[in-house]
Amino acid sequence: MAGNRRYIAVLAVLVGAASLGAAILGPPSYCPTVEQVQQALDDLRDGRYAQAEREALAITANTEEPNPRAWAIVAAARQRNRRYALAASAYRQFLAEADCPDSREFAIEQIRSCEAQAHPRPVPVAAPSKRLSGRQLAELAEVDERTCAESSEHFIVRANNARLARLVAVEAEVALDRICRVILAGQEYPHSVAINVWPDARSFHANAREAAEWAGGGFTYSCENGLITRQIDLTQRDANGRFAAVMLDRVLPHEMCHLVLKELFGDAACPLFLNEGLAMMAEFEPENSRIRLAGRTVAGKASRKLKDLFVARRYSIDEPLVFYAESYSFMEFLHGRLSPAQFRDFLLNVQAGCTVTDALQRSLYVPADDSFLADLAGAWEDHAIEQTQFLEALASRDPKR
Amino acid sequence: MVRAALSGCLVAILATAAAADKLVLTDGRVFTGTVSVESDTVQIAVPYGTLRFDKTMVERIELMDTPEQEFRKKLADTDLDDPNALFGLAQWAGQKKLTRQATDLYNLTLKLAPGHAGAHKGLGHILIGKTWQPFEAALAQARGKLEAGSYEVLLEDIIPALKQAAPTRADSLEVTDLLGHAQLRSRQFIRAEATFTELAELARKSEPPAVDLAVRAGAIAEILHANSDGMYVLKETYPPSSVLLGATDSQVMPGPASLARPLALEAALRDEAKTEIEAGRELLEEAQKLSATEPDLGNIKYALADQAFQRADAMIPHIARAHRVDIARRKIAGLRKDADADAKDFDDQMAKLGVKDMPPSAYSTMILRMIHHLDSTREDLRRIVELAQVYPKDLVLELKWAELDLTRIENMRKILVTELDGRK
Repeated sequence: MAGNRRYIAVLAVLVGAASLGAAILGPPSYCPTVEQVQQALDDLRDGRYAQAEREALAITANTEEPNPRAWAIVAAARQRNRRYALAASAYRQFLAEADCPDSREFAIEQIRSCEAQAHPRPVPVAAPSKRLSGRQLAELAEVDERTCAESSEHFIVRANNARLARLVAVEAEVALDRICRVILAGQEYPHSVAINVWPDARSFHANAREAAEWAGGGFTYSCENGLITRQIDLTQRDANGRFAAVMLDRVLPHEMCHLVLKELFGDAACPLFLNEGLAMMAEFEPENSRIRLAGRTVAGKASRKLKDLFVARRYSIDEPLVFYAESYSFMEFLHGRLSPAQFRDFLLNVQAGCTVTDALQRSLYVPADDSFLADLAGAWEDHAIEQTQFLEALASRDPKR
Repeated sequence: MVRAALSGCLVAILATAAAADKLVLTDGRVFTGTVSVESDTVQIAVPYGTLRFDKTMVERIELMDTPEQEFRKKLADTDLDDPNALFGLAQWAGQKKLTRQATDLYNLTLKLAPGHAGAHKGLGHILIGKTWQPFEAALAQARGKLEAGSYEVLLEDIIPALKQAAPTRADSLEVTDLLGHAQLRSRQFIRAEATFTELAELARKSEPPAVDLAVRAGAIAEILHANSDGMYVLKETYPPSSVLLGATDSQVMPGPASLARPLALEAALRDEAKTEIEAGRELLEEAQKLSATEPDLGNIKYALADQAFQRADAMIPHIARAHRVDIARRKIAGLRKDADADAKDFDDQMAKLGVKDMPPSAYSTMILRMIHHLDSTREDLRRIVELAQVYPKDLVLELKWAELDLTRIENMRKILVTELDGRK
């Protein structure tokens, strides 16, 4: 009897060891909640969010075989039902159980997105000149005998007005941050730039020799004897002797974007539409006239327009206003539709020498498709017309727009 | 009509009929073939040649019917108006490896009895619904059933029949692939995982190996293994271009989705492909850095990058094509550099010719050296053509330039060889 008991004990230990070994080494051969998970996924797909949430919660709470992955269904159901705070908390549960880096990354991204949706959107910051009073604007138009220098993390600003030098240094940092972080999706800029604010157009053109005749600002990026010069030249006053607010609101961020892009592209050629389109996007306020013009010109002929846009050179542009409007419209469309990572990848692909369509398809990780350009043009056309119609509708309510 | 067809069949059979005689030697060896006797020798034609033996070495000759002869006799005894009799003979022919005769008889049986199930099966036909179909048509219809969501009939009736009737190994792999997808779409995830694992193994071992299918099936098996509840969490909208180009009716939003949905599976495969592409891109960058200083190591990195891109292409067709063109372009650039260096050496040698007097032997040596430079350039150009021909549309300039240069080099080489031969 005692011997039998010993055999039973040994057998029990062996069986236990074998099942433990199978549990550790073998693949999961059966998932008890498959049917429930699939049912919840069906409901999620078909828009029955409350039901999907209920079912998925039941799976997570299943005492016998809980499936913590079902938190992803709970979270998605809440998110699609616009219950963002609760969705974020469900994504946190999913994050705690996620076993692969991709899932964790996805959960973190969704938590951020839900939290951003849960809180009211911050009011967009007005253009710098809109935050200034009439008296301040008048002060900024003053020109001293002495040149003042003001420095910030990235800029050394010289102007014949101490207040203006300070303001330009602050706004230049704001613009650079927006360009690098938001527009170029994480571009670094560990350089120092000299900004010269010349009192008027005459002194500006006398010093910024590369600037076009009509321009009120320009940038310089040159390398001589191993010394790189990064410089932005601006004009303080307009033809009437008033402070040129456009310099702060548009010209400064516009030229700065060109400078940053020059750094990003190096010796590689940056397509003109991309360079100008992004520079216009960097300006503090969108110019509605560009959006309207683009909508009108693109309607019905986006495909041809897009082909022309991609190969446009500065000397080959017949209608500069139309070109600028279309460049802005297309880049704003791309930037809005691509994720930051995709947009960054797109820029790097263009920088590496890919054509625009190839760069886009590579950044999307899709197989090359001959109809891609036509589809892209169609989508851009729809977007441009939609934007124009929206502005027209607003203008009919508020003629000032 | 049937008789006419049958007589045609008989003529063909008679033409191929051959005896299967048995030659038994005194030392115990036995040969099977066609025996003929010539004065003192006995000849036997065997599949690998003709053997001759002295009569004294032969113990006995057994004249036997070949399967064809036997078939002819059986056919003579068969009632040609009886479909079952024809079918019976067809089966017998099939067992005796008389495939063509069996096929002919199955077809004749069907002419007499169009619904004869045995004859259809003998021909590899598959019953779908109420109609018998050849394998290819049945496979195409099975794919249609998969898209239509008729998983039950597919899994229970059609796929087992297809599997049994698959005429080639490649067809058998296709049926297994279909089985895996049918199981997956009917939410039998564990079974689907096992099927795709088996398919990957079979594809790898097939002759020649079905590499792309093996990679794709292996990737699906891994995806199913990692998501045994059949849920996949999409990190972005699929298809990925739908956000840019406008939403379509068939798209999957980011978040959890069932792997039973074909688009969700595609999204999962595309994520795997993306990982491969990212790895390939890193290798490509390393290769580019190394190619100037350590070309051999650079080439190894290029090869590894190409492998990663191939795997990506196997998962989602052509997804990494542009990157593979990049590799070819970079390799061509390296070869061009070598070819240009050789061309420059050739020009230097050429410049020396005729400038100073040299003995005939030195002149010949110089010509030989020039031919050597041309040969080296020619090798590089041939390699460029080889690389560019894979992507003729993308690398049209590289291809045309290399072909043009090759023609020029061949002409120059001819002149030099003629000059050298003249000297000799």
